[in-house]
Amino acid sequence: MKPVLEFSNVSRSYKAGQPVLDRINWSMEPGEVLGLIGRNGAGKTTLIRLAMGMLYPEGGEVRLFGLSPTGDPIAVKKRVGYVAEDQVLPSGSTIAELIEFHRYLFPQWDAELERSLLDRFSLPKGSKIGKLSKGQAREVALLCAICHRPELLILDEPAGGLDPAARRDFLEASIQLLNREGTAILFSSHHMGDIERIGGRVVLLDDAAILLDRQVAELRENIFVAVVSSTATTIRNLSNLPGCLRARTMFDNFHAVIVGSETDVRTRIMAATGLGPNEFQCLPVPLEELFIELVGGGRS
Amino acid sequence: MIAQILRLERPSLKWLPLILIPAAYVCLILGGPKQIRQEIFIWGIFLPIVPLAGLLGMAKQWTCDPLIAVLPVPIRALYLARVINVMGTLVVCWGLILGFALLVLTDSTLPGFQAANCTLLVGILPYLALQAWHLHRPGFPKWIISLVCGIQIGPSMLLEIWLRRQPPATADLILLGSILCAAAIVSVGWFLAPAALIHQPRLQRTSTSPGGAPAILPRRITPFLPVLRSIYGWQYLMWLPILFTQGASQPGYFPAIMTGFAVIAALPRSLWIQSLPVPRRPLLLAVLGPAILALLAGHWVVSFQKSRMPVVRLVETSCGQADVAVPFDLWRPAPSNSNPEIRAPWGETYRPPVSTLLGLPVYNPFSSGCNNSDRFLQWQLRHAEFANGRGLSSRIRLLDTLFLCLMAVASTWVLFLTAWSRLRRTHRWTIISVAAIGWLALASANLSPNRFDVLGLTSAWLGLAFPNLAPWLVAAAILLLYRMVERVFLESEYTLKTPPQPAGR
Repeated sequence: MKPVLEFSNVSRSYKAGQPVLDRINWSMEPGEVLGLIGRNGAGKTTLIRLAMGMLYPEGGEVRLFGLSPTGDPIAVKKRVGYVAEDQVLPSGSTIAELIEFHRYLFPQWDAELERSLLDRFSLPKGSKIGKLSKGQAREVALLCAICHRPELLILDEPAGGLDPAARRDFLEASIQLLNREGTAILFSSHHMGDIERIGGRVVLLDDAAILLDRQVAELRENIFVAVVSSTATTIRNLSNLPGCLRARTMFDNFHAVIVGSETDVRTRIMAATGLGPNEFQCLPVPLEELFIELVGGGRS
Repeated sequence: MIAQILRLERPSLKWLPLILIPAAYVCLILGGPKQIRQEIFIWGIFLPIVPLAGLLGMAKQWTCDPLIAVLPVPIRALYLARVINVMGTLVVCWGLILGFALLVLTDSTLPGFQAANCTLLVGILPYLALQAWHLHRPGFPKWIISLVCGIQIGPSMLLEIWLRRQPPATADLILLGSILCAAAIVSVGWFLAPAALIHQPRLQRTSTSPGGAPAILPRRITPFLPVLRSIYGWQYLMWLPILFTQGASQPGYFPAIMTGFAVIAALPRSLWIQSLPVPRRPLLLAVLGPAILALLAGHWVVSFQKSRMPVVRLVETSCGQADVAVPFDLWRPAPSNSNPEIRAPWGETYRPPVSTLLGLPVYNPFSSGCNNSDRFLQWQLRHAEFANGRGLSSRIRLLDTLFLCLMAVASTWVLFLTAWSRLRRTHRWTIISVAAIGWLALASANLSPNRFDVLGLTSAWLGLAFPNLAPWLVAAAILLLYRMVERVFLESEYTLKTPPQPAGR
């Protein structure tokens, strides 16, 4: 199947010698839901802006639907919906005017979906966008992004700043309305709860590279954190374990994130360190904890 | 406390080099005080006044209220710091004017000096009033500040020009009145300062209307209303009267150089279109077109006025005889290595002196010498009026217009270079330096030690050097440069680190 979005050796920096993204290879299939996570400044927004053709890659190639987003921007953008955290909407226009503009740009505009979303979000069409609350403005942006039924919906921190109820409503609307019809969704978020709720695939960006690229279900079942006393082994030993994504020091212990079933992980640790089965802990971790283990604190 | 506030609010004095460097450059290329002619004195005044508005508009004092509001800052200290900020900028600008005045101050330039002082102080009054008001209504709309900037640049220039023609007492009276007004405004602001900065909630209007586009608009336009409102926001529209005023009041290329700023002002508001399938080419045209038209409109108004004045006239020469003076566009290129000879049908001759026009040897073919007869003078005068009637000047006016367009497009191109993706990896200061050199080169095209109207000179030169090809050459240059601007614009990355104003409260 032809990928909807493909990054081939893509590099990008804002300052010479400090790449934000360094030779990223990555693709997304039609209908896939992909959550992009990473610390602040990890390159999530840069990656998304490269995908939208708002930034030019320094090296490599970005392809959307097989087209270049910078070389063929109109054809690409007609098939994409985009909502960003810092979405700047024309504050002097009314919702109705903005919808009219989108209807003009996208001939496949779904008026029925527009009506149902206006009802669902209780948006007054005559209101000026500048007078809306933050949540309402975000809902307008989402409405504009999905009513033309894009093949790819890109959400860059779309629910940032919204309260938990509004955030859940927002994300559920996106997923329910589009993904069941085969629209691929790429979204970045700091909220691991959102990622877990939506499911699909998770890509973790760190240090200008992709540190983790797995299905959420796999993360729930096949990733463990081994907690080993720092007197029992060395951190190098743990880092060199097969499947070890990261090892770090936490007070008197080492924490190592290891991919595999619990039995496998335990066997590998015992073989590498010579510890008995009760001399270390092997814990399944929620996604948020996993994120902290992978990108938080000092490095080994 | 006041020093701390000033540091936090980024005093406009920090931008002092932005004024000093071009001012020093102008002094340098003018070749020192001996070269400065009286009419160039306006540059000494113009340079401080225009940036003054920008400096005050840029100052952070209008935007950091939420931070100040939550800190235990005495409101009067805050007010004093802001007054010092404005007055400090005034002192710097006044220093520049004084500097220029010391170079060239004579009896004839004294009215200009007084007028400039007066204009500065009158221009500062609205800022002082705004600051006093700002304490009571923090966060008022930014269009008010831009309006003040507009008032500062446009009409205050006209005030300055008017004052230079008035008796010195007028300027002195206005100056005195302005000082009293400034003192009164600061005192009122001080005494009526509120206890704290309090953000007042804006009134919310709930609309029950369907909210569509107004019915009077044609249906083809209505979908584009959000785009039009975005690009033609106050940030852009404020430049149109400025460009018009500058086009009308400033000779030469300088007003054209300001066009780029108008274009840049419109772009942040149109960022939301980036993610939509909207072609960028029409966007560029929609932003650049009105700015250039406003500039040309101002220029045309003045050209129209000039066209009604006689261009062929008799002037008295040093030997006491009259001579025929015509604009440069009626001059002719001189043959190399010899003075051309003008011969009347009855045999009387004259060899006019050869001058150089931007390196091209030219002579006035309608000139008459000290030894020539009155009959010869009248014959030359009739010839000059006949030549002027053939429409040579209208061709030069067309060239003027085309040159202005060329400079406007060039200035936009220079400004766009900083956002061009292909130059993005270049070090920031390298780009800024190259852009600054480009700007200074464009600015220096506007300044000449000998003549003031460099635009007219360039047009005349091109008209003389390439009589038939000139308009086509300039038009081709405009098209070529516009294509370059378009290319840079299409390949630019306009992603601001701090977006202008995301929707939502």
